[in-house]
Order: sequence, then C-alpha cells, then structure tokens
Amino acid sequence: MQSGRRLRALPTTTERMNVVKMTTISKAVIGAALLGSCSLIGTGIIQAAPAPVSVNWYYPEFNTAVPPNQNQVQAAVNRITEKAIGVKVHLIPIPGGGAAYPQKLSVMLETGQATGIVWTSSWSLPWTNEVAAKAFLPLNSLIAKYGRGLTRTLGTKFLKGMAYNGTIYAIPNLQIEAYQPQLDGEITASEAKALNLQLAKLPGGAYEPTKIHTFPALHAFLVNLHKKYPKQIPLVTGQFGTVLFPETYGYWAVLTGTTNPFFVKMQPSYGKNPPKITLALNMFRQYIAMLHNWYQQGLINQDAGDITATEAHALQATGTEVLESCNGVPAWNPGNEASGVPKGYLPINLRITEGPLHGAPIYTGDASTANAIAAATPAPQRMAAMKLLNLVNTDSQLYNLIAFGFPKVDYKKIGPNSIVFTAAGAKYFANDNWAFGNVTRGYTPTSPAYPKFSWKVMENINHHAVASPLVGFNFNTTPVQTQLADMAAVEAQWNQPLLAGVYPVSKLSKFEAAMNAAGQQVVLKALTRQFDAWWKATHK
Amino acid sequence: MPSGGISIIRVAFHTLLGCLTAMFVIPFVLVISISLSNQGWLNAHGFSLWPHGLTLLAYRFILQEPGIILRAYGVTIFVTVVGTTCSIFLTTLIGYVISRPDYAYRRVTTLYIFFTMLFSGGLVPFYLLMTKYLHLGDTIWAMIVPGLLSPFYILVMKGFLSKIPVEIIESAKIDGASEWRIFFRLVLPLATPALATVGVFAAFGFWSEWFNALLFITNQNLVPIQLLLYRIFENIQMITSNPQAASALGINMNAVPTTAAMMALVVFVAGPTLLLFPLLRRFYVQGLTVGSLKG
Repeated sequence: MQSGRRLRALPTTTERMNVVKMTTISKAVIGAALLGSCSLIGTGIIQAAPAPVSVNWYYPEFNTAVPPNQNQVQAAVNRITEKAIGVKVHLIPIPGGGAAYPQKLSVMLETGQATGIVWTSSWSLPWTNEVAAKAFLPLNSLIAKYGRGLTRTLGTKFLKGMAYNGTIYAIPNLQIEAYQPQLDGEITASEAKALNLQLAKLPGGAYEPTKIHTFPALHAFLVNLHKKYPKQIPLVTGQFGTVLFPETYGYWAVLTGTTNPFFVKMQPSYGKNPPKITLALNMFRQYIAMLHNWYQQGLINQDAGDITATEAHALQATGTEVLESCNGVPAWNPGNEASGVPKGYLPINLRITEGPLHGAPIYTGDASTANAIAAATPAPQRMAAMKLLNLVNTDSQLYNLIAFGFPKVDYKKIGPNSIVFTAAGAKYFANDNWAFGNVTRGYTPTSPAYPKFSWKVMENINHHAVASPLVGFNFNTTPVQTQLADMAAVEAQWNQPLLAGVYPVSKLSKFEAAMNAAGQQVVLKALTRQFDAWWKATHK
Repeated sequence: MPSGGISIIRVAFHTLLGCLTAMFVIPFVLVISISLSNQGWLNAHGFSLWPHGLTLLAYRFILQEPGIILRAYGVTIFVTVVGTTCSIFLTTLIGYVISRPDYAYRRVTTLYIFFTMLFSGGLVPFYLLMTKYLHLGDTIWAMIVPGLLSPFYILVMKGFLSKIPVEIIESAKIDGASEWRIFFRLVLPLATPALATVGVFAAFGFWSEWFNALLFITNQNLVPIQLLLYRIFENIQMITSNPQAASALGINMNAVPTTAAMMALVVFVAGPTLLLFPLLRRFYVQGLTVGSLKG
C-alpha cells in the first residue's frame, strides 16, 4: 500500500545545529510573548478567550455503523460553531435506527446519564413520555433568550406542536409537518412506466388520477382499473390494514395514532367551551362498509386479513399492486406531481369532504420529529445547546454540513442549491438530514426517484396548513393504563380484518362491545375530564 | 429391551426421535435455503427447502463492509473466550466452596446466591452501577462482567461438586496439599463434565450477548457481532417498512435481499455455535444428568 509519505534525507550536522538554534530562539520568543500576555491578562488589558462549552447531541443513525467520516464532519462542524457561538459539539449517532435508539436513550435519560441535545419524535423515543418522566427541560425561557432565530424560521404554529401543558419541550425539525388526508398517495405499478403510460390513456374526467379527491371517485377509478388489468390487485394491504384519516370525515383525532377511537367534530370555531369528544361510530361504520364493498369486488388482496406487513410489502414488490399506501408525500399542491412525486408515479389526493376545512392540508403534530435538551444537562451546556439548535436552524452552511457531510464525497452539487447523493461512496450521509433541523434551510436533495423535488412544495403545504385545535393537548394515560392495554389487545385482534375490508359492517357491533368491555367508556371519561381542563386553561 | 430383531417399541422410539430431529433440522435447512435464494423468487413463491435462483447476494449484502463484520466477530470471540473462562473459574470456585460440608456458612451463602435468582435489581440501578460506580460504560468489560456469575450455574456446579467424596479431599489434606492445590489438581479435573456443561451455557450466553452492548457500547470498535447483526436487521426492517425512503435513496426494493439477508444473518449467528456444540457434546450430556442419580 502506498503510504503517501516520502523518505527524507537525514539532516546534516550544520542543519541540526541550525534547527537547535532556531528552536532555542523560538522558545525564547514564544516564552517572552506568553509571559507578556499573561501579565496583560492579569491586568485585565487582554481577555483570555473562554474555553468552548461542549455539548452532546444524540440522534439515531439509520446505518449499521458510525459513518467513516463522522470525526471529520464533527471537526468541520466545530470550526463553525466554536467561532460563531463558542460551542463544541460531540455528535453521537446511535446506529441501528428506530429500534436501538429509543432503547438506549430511554435508559440513559432515566438514569440522568444523557446530557445535551436528544433527538425525539412521536414514534421513536416518544417525546410526551419523556416529558412526563421529567427527562426533558422546559425550553420557553431558553428559546426566548437564545432561540429567536429559530422561532422566526420555524414559526410558532409548529413550535406550539411541541408544547406539553402549555410549555415547549422540543424544537421541531421542520419537514412535512402537515399532510393531506389520503387513503393512498400514489399510483404505481409493477412495471410502473408501462402501466402508467396506459393509465394516461384512460378516459379523462373522474378517472384522471390527479382529479380524484373523494372515495366514490377513487372507487370508480379502481373498478375501471381492475376491469382493464384484471391480473393486478389495485390495493394491497396486510397487517395494518388501510389508514383511516378521520379528517376525511370531518373529525379531528384527539389522540395521536390512527386507531385511537376518540374524536372531535370539526367546527369553524369552538369558543371557550371545549368541544365534545365522541367515538364517531358512524364514521367507522361508513368506512368499514366501504372497504368491505371494495374487498368483495376484488379491489383489495383477498389475504389482507391474515398477512403480515412484511408479507404485504413482499406482495407489493412482486408488482401485483396498483396503488401504494403512503402518508406524507406532498400530493396536495396542484401541480406538484411534477416536483414532489416519484418518477413514474401519479398522485391521488383524498380531500376533506366534510366540515369547514374542505381541501386544506392539516397539521396535527403527530408526524413531527424534534430535538429536546436532556434534563440532566448542566446550566452552561443548556444555553450552549439552545444556541447550537438556533444556529443549525438558521445557518444553511452549518445545516448542510451536519446533515449531508462533505461535497463530492457524500453528494454532488447539480445546481446552486440542489444536490444529488452519491449513495455508493457516501462516507457520512445516511438519509437522516431530517434529524437535525429545518430541512428547508438546506440543500434540495434530488434522486433518480425524485428528479424534480423541491422544498417549496413542502413549505407551501406547511404554510397553508390548518393546525388542529387539539395541538398541545397531551393525555396523561397513567390513571387508565389497564384499560388502554386491554383496548390495545382488542384492537390488535380486530384492526387488521376491519381496516383491510375483510369483515362486514355487521361485525362492528361485536368489536364495539369488546372495546366497551375493555374499558373504553372509562378512558373516554378520563380523557374528557383532562381535555376539558386543558381547554379551559388554554382558551381563557 | 430384547436384543436383535426389530421391536415395535424400538421402531416407534426411532420414529419419534427421527421426527424430533427433523423438527429441529428442517427449519435450519429452510433458513439456509432462503438465505441462498433469489429475493424476487421468494417474493413471488414463498419459502422452499431447496434454494431457487441460487445466489450469494444476501451474504454479499451483509458483507458489504467486511472489516466491520470481522472486527465485530473478533470482539465477540474475545468476549466469549475471556468471559467463559472467567465465568467457569468463578462459578466453580463459588460452587466448590458452598459444596464443602465443612464450610460453616454454606446454607446462608447458598440462600444468598439463590435469592438473587428470584429478584432482579432492575434496569436503572444496573445501568447506574455499571456506568457511574464501576465505570464500565463503553468498555469491553461491560459485555463480560455482567455475565460472569449466574446463580443457576453456581447451583448446577454445587450439585455436581457435592458428589465428590469428602474423603478424597481429606486424604489430599493428609498428604499435605493446600486448599488451592486441592481445588486445581483434584476438584477441577473431577468436575470436567460440569465444567463443559456450564461452559457451553456460559459461552452461548456470551456469544448471544447484544443488549448490554446496545446499552453500554458507543465505541464502534467494541461492537459485537450480535449487536451489529441487530442493527443490520433493523435497517432491513426500516427499508422494508418504508418503501418511500428506499425510493428516495434510489434503492430498488426488489434488488434488496430483505428476507434472504435476514436468514443469512441467522446462519452467521448460529453457525459457530453449531460447530462448538458437537465438540463438547460428550461432556455436555454427562453434565446435564448431574445430580440426577445418587451413587
């Protein structure tokens, strides 16, 4: 192996003597300078530069190992942060992603061994649990002092989404915070391009995928597609069934997650009186009846009630599926099919057809990821952590470095602000740029799958999004944990066949009875009591 | 049992054992077959005992960075060898002490050891003990020290050592042997079957260890093979459950050997232990019957 170092001829005696002389002189000069500056520092004429404050930053790494260039990127990050805010960051990625990270960090937080910034979300290391366990610091005063920049770039709408009993506990990483309710986001197909070409030849009007916004229109489209391509299954699903978006029926979900059956009817305004939480049984009935109808017509795979999510994905991968289930792809913005939707795909949007929010994207806070500060963090590091979060969310150069790594190694610039990943040779980037901050501050990543991707689509959605009036309410589940566990067991048994359309609506009454027996009414009472108290406290 | 001829009982017994063996062997053959199959074929047709579209892609996928895998194997081998050796030594030492009838506090000591089998200190105190007080966080000892002593193994060892006649020990004493000499020259050689049994148990324990590594290890150079494979598994799961993310990265889902790679992981993890077991089988069987017969 070539070392890159070259052998050098040994110095002659004269050279060595010169070196000795030079070294002695240098030492004398440096020593005098040091003595001089010490005396000046002592007299207060020159201030000694304060040592940078070190801050840890824990986040999940969706890779098997720490990236090879981790130390180099960290050093480059520190050159910026030390100069700008006097902070030295110790980046601590936890490889293994979504599963390893919460297991490690929850123990570290509980034992007070994690200090500094801690990545959190609604789905991995759930932030509400950690706040309830007093593992995260309240951030209001720190944001007011050191986070003005990030407040400006994020907007208070999304900051409030990280509030627990009125106090903010984390800084959201702005990405697609809002979404358009949709059963299925995209049309794809096995031989995607071939079929899509044929799709383009389908009759216009209601069958044009970009114009489908209601369930009946989608149904008509699927039936037509099924006739044309009888060997293809239009909708493949498995373990988790389809996703019911209550917003499509004019309801806000009170709890995060799609299977918690507590809802509030959408209204233009609620006033001081808290809206009533209901079980919205009619909505379930309507949805299950519709799905079962589709299932009987062969629009859903016939084994949807039995197969696991992995098996469903495998079935999708064989190319039998026409519609692919997805959340979050910004299919809302008219014309975005040219920018935010993968190549060879066409978007389908199901819009809110009932209630006052017709057609609007919504923000519920349940898709956010964020960065919090561990409660065990010592005071100087707390300030430093907030300064760092502020800088990452406002300084594009820093964000791009910490999120994407080095140019030419991890990505290639193809425009003033757009890049393409060099997936094969990447030494740092692991597709987790969304873990660090506001993604719209950084480069626009494009890929063969998303050739015309643009942050503007997301920014537009986020800007227009209507925030759920329930954002900021967090249910303390401690008093009803037994009932919730029993309800979860009932749901685990029923959800798949129900939400995959396998069961007819007549079976719903048995499901409701089982949920009641599990203590649904007890949970409803506790939830209503807490919700009413929160509403009154926040709507004075 | 009558000698010669084929009795019905013998046939039934062999059939039963044959079925049992098949129940253990077939799943592993299936695992190997899946790991060598083409992912596209698996998606379309499911599993088969014979690999279809024979390919080593799953193994190539796992061995993308062989340096990391080799280092992780090295860590695991170190942990297993050092851990098992120390564990056997300490277990035998304690087991011997509480097996000696002339040790006055043996009942209390046995109860003290047995008691820890019933109650666990809990994860939080354990974590604090390891990191804050023993300062073992992010060191290789975090994977060795917690597994050094198991009350169950100590009691197994005690059961075996209790069978050694006291007279042997006393005669050695009369011959002038010290306690250490008795232990090393007499007790240890006599306890070989028990050592092998406990050794296999302990070695499997250290070999399979990943949770302590997940909790305590951050240094990439100290990651054991099990934790690394857990991470690979998690990443495959992530790709499988997020076709969107895969698509964004330009990954062709059909080209990623998801199921095949998971089974290749099983081969990686189980392979070495499968080799170890036959070597120690002779001692192992003898050791399992420890204490079952009174001589």
